[in-house]
Amino acid sequence: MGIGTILLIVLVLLLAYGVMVYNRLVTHKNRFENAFSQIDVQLQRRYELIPNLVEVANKYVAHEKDTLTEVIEARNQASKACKEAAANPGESGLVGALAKAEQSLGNAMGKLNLVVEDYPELKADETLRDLHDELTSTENRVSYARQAYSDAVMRYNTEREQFPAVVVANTCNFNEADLFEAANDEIREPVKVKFG
Amino acid sequence: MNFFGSQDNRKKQSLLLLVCFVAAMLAMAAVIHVVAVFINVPLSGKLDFGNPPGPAKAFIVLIWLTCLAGGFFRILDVKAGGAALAQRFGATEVQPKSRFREETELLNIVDEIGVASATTPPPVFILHREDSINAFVVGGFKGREALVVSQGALEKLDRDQLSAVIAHEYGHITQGDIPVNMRLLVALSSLNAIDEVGKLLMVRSREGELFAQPGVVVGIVLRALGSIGVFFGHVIRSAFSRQREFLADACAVQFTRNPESVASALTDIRNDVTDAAIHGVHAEEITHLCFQAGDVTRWYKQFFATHPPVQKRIDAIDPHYAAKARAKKRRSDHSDKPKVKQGGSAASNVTNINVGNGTTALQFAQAPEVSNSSLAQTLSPTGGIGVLSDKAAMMISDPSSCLAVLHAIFVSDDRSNSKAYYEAIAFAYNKVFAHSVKDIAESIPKALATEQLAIIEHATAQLRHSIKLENRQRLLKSLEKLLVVEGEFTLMNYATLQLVRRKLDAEFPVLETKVGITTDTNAGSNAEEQVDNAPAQGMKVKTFDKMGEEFALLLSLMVESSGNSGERIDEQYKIALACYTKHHHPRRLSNEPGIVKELEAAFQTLYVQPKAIRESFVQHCLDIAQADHHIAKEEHALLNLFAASLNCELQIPVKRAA
Repeated sequence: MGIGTILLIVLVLLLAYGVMVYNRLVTHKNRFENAFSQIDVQLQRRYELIPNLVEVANKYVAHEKDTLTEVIEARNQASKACKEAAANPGESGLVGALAKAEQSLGNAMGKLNLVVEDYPELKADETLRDLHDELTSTENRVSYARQAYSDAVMRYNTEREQFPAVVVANTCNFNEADLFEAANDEIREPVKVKFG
Repeated sequence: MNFFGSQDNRKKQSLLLLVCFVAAMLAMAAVIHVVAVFINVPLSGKLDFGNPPGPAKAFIVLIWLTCLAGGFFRILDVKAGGAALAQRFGATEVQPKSRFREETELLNIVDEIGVASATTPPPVFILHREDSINAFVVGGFKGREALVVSQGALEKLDRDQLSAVIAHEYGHITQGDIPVNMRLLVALSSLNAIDEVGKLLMVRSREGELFAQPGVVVGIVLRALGSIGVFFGHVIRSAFSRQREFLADACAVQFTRNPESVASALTDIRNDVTDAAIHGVHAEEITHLCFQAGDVTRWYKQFFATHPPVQKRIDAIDPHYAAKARAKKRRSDHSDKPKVKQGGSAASNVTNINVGNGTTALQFAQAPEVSNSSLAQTLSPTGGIGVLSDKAAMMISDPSSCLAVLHAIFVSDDRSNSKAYYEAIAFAYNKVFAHSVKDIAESIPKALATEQLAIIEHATAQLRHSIKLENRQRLLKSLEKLLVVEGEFTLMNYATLQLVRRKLDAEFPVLETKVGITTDTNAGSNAEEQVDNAPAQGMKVKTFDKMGEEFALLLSLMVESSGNSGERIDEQYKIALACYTKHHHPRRLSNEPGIVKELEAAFQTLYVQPKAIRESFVQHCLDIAQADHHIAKEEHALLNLFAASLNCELQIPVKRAA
């Protein structure tokens, strides 16, 4: 066997290994992108629930217009930011913008909750109660989705930064992914909707 | 817990076990081959492993066919998929938009954890007739899992705990445990088939002469091979399963990010009285995937246990969980009822005691947060707590005299001994202090003897607030040094010193706890917790017989302290010891050399026993002390020592002096 043959075999093996690493990176990348889209799905679900909640509240407390409008506006903004970020999950700036929009939505929801606390008949409404259950579960899902996203990003980044993979990653343009960092602690707190 | 690291670790270990399992199966095949060739030797007279003669070949093929058939039937059994299996158990599927709030909540939780684990939620079933707390996943080979939750779990767990249980099951799903488990099951069934065929052959030929027939010989060989294979297969599979439980627990922590709820669900299961194991025709298929399977009680059964002991699982999540939970509960209790004061240490709850002269009724409980004004009240002779003679009260009015009086307590009656003691004090501190100790000892010798407990109580109460913990500990150390005469305590000095130590809240953490006294409760309570949990692990509990020596030691000291005549003591001792052990242990004397060290070792041994045993033992000692309707000073000191060292509460009844 000539040296040429051996070199060829080594080259083919190296190439095969490279392909394997590349595929693994693709798998992980898709996984974390999918995880991000889960956040998106759950956030959308939440954005859909919020108008319903506002509508029910509107029946009882129409005069608290400022708060209700604020909630709806914040919701619209967050929904828009979410769509933009979902379109391009790798970009860190967009995720940051979403986090900010989420924060102001959280603040607005907090105000709405204070309003709801003041009206016992609103608190007693059954539709609102069901919506509350939905919203609580969705809040959980949002945080779980974020967590799953972080886990997936961690796995991807670990994979990407380890030795042989880092070569493939750098040549094939696998960028480092961002963790979903909340701007401050407030956003990490779930929106509390408490009735009775 | 570091769940990512833990997961990697468990995965490695279970992979190793899988390799073991495959190796065992290969070894089994080899053994079958060899055995087949060997039993053929009488027939053909040849020993050829490479190309076995006809009958041996037929035998081997027979076994392989049996294996295949056994495995095949099992495959038919499980290939129906999770939902069908769940229904076979009698579980009913939960429909979305269910009328019941708890069912919608369960569905919500399943969906939530599905998001957390990035898995499609499986269909959910409820096992209505099962009252124990349990949950499991069933499924075939293609990932058509179904999640089954027992009614008991729905009723007894709160939302967080239920999430933890569901997350554990998701852990089994994401880690691919179900297909692996099913394959192991099929492999084991095929081995089991060998055993079954052997059984059949033997039964059929029982009528005839048992060993003359070739069928019986084959049957015996088959049974032997089959049962050995099944045995090892079970052991390895169970070990594998235990690793996967830890792995699933780690996954549950990862998905919920709430180790507390996982641990609290496990704790609730441990405290649940309902039998945990799932019973039924197909139980074998699912016990490996249950959330729990009930702890085994016999040592040999742990090799076949599909689940690790609950305590070990809790420890893997957070070794200090129980202590934390207790501290948390205490905090919440505290905020609910702020007026209830917590006793400083376990044994110092309000205890009314009757000291030798029968006149002193002491209240031992010192609220840890005594303010200065209430301290003054505590210390005033008429302040209600304790009755101290005026003279003694005057002697211990300030911290330095308190220090002195604590030293004065130990002044011996023997003149030469006391002289050496003063010199030692002068050497350890200074002459002035030695003088003040001597002054106190000489001015109130009677009070020191009769009101010793009251004096200790008052002196330590004051010192506890005037000097820091580390200084108190230093004080105890030097006091201990002073008292060790020729490398040995006298028993009474030891008992008194322990009392002082306890009253100063300066004891070693392993013997006592200081939970609830300071804000820094964790360090102390952890030590207690580990010790308290030891019996639950079932490993450290010795039988009474093995602890006979320890009981004998404690009992002989107890009976001796009553001050009765020799014969009476011997008799009492015999009766008392008979309650604990059949063996005879000679009665020990308190002045034997090395007795204190042995006593401490005995406390260490007994301390890890279940609380019920410790408490009843101390109660028994109290009964012994009370046998003569009088608790002498020594008896009292010993009782206090036992109670404190064994972390029991002691209620010494108050008897007014006649």
